[in-house]
Amino acid sequence: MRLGVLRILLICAAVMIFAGTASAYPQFQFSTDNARCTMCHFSPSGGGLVNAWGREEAADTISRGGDGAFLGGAWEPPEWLALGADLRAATGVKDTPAEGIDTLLFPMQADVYSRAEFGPVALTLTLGLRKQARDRNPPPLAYVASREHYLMYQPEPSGLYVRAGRFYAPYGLRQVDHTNYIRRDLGFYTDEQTYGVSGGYLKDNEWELHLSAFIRDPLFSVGPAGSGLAAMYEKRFHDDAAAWGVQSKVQLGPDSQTYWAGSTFKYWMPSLDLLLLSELDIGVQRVDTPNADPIAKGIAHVNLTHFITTGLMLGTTLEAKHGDLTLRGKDAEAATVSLQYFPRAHYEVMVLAKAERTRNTSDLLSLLMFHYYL
Amino acid sequence: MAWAIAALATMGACGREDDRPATFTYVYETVIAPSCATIGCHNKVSQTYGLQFETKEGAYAGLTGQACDEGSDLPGEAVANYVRPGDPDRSQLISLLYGDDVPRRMPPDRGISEVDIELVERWILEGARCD
Repeated sequence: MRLGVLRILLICAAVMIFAGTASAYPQFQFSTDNARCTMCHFSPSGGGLVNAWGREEAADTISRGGDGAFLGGAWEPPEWLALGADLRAATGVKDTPAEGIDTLLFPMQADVYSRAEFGPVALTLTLGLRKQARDRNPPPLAYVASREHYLMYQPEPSGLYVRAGRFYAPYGLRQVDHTNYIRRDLGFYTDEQTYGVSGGYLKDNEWELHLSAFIRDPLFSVGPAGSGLAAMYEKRFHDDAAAWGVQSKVQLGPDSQTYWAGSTFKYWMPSLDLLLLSELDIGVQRVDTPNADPIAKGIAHVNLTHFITTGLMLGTTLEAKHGDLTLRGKDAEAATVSLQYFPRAHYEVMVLAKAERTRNTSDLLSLLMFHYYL
Repeated sequence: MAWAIAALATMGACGREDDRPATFTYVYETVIAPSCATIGCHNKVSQTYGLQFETKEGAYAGLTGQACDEGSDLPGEAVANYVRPGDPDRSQLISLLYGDDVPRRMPPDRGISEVDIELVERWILEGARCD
């Protein structure tokens, strides 16, 4: 037991740079007979720490067996406390016209999660290692980050909730790959969690609504500048096998304002073991400078995941975006194929190949990722 | 929504000629902030090569070695003259964006579109003012 903890601490210590973040697996909505994210996650919008049901699902439904409990069941935290951790590392090859072939080997994530519950109130804290701090003499704390910390009031798993602190405002699909356009270009890139207040209502499996007001992290100024509002609604139908959602977001910066509106559609086809996840967002950006016309933007995302067998899924993602719909040459497209294998609870291996093309570049990326969830 | 992907990809081939204003506010808001001020790159946390782009003033100081408001202190460290006003061909920023004769193209994770690099060139050619 002591050796196990020491090993984990050593792994954490090794992950000193390039630590990124990863979040939920929306592919498990519907495909595991769980209609909403909060079936398995504490967070109202999914991602991060999983609850007791989520840990059971990690062993029974998602992977090829094992014990999904914290520390594999070796020690059980008290009922009011939930703990967990995510460790990710990857190796791969990137091929770009400008630089040729580049070999990659890097830790991706080292986050420890905790959640203390006191009746209807819960305090969630994530502590992890930050991306490279390249100040010449960075203080040790510069390597530590808390991507999420918030206080939440939620009397029941369904119904009303309110939370305040640092987290991503619920919006659209939250794919695990933070380089997806729907994350990178909508303000949900790595470490871009905002501070704010969010509230909403979860009507069992029928529908959910989230409203958020947020500001950019005032300490480290990561992500789009300024403040904003976001709203998201999802309605489920077809015997909890499909969902349709709408979302909108306003980002008000010191020199520009961006308005987004979008929609999601999710459809589970059990006879084919196939899940469709899709999102379309249309935006307008106004820049406060003379003679600037409003900029119309668009992002589309389609993901098809085939569940080959228990613990093995094959995903295909097509993405397109246009940074100015009226201007030639501001478009980009990407195609990704990924194979994810969950041999036992707590373990994941992923192989990914991604091709991206813009008007003047075309990049290829292949990646092998290892993921351990405590 | 596959039609939306096809539509967005198709729209990349058409559209108007670039008549966008080549002011630094526009360049910063549409090119520098979304592409360069991300975590791990040129923000307050990472400060790669000493450059902090999380504010327009910081980006201008880092790129030109000049303060936006004349007479005020530089908000960041001016590491080098990445921009030579009026001379995009001799401005290192342009070489970095195109990936020409530099160890690494910027941004390294995904390139900036040619039309945006041309906008940055136009801003430099027109004097690289903090307007």
